[in-house]
Amino acid sequence: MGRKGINLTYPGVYFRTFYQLLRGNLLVNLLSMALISFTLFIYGIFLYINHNLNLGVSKMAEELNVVIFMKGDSKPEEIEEVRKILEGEKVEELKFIDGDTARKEFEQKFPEFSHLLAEMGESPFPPIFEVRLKNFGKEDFHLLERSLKKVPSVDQIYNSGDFTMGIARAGRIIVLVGMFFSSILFIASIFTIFNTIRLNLVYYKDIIEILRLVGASLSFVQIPFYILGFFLGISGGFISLFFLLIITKALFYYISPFAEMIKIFFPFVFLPLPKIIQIMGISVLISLFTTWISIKGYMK
Amino acid sequence: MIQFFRVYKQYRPPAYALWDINVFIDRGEFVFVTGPSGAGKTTFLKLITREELPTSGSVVVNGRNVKQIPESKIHHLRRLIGLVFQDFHLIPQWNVYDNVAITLRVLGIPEKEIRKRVLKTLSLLGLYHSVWKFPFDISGGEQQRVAIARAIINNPLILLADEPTGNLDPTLTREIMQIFKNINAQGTTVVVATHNIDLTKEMKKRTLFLESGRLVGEERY
Repeated sequence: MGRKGINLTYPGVYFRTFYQLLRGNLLVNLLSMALISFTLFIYGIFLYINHNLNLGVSKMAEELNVVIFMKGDSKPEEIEEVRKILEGEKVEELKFIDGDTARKEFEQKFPEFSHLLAEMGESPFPPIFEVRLKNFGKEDFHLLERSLKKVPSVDQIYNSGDFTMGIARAGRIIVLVGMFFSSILFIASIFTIFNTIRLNLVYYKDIIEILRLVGASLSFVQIPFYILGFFLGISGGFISLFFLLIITKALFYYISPFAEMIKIFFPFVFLPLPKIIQIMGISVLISLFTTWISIKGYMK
Repeated sequence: MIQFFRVYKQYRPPAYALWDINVFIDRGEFVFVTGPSGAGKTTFLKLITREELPTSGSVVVNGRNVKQIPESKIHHLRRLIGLVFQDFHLIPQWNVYDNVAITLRVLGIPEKEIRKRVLKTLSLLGLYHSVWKFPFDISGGEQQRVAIARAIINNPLILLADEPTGNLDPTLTREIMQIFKNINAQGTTVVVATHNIDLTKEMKKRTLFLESGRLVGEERY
């Protein structure tokens, strides 16, 4: 009488039926796939932003970068006083850049803006100290800041710590916003997949009836629909990742004049493998789960 | 083989589709179930295949009470039964080969074996020339033979036919009945539901008469 249970030695029948279902309701299936792709694309965008901000924040948090702007008319002994204060700390790197050196560095890094400096004549850049401090806490920084501010020619002091915290805060807000929008889209996707599978079941209704009457098991009837659900999910995942890759690469190319500056806190690294697997996994899980609900409700 | 014990079937109160049916059909018998439209003939057949459940009473097929078969195991019962319908119930998107092969595909039989058996069965029924045609390409009589091929290809224990000649002319009707007789001669229990009393008289087979859901008579030849 044949084998019991799922016939795994003849998957061709299931895939053939799946192909008939796919073609039979091609437009609906494609629309469903498009919505799943869009949902995962939006989710992927937020994952991408979050991932890169986290990377940037981690990198920046390892070391504290401080820039001390001196007044333009600073005397050499005042500059030396600041140098002495700094040399006493946990300094990884200490660099003094006078106005002319700063101008040359700017012209090298941003040649497209060098014409602006040519019009100015004198260097607009004040002398600065660039300091990189390692294992430097907030308290340590406040003490250093107090010492430096006692020197009259110190104009302003910037540190990357505040900036890092700001980026981290922004990252958290972006994640929350992303989760909110993604949730709405995921719910919409679930409804869409449910109805797509249901439509396919209805389209195949007469055939299902005949299959059941000639002795097809429930699994024989249902497996092609699970394959369809899986296909919608995995295709949606692949398409979303493809567009995510294209868009992020295009974005990087578009902002390339400013990329070096932005890379400090946003390294433009594509999603790592675990995140890619997460996107694909969510897509497939949601699709299969929704397919199961749709089939269960139809074939009572 | 098939037993009905005090079977009642009610779709919607207060009317009963079947009322107190007690029937025993032995293995290898050829039985007609006849009566006017609405007599309960189709319901009678649906209870055997477990498309419907009796409201009360038991229907026993091949030693198993159909009420006790769980939904997930119904297919085992249906693999013992071949079905032929008045409107053929062929799948229009599939060709003749696939329409017949499906009975074997659901069993997981290898495609090579399926091909052999399908072509052999279609040849026996005079359909070899139509193997790759679609249902809409062949006549009503040929379509019914395809349906019969699908029903018998798995050598079922029971063949149920619901008005199999309802859409056919007398010549084709006789042809189909002859096929059923041949199948029955090989040991398959055949139950044919028909409103055509003349056919039952001509065939001289055991006949159950239904009227308004009740078994009002029986004739044995």
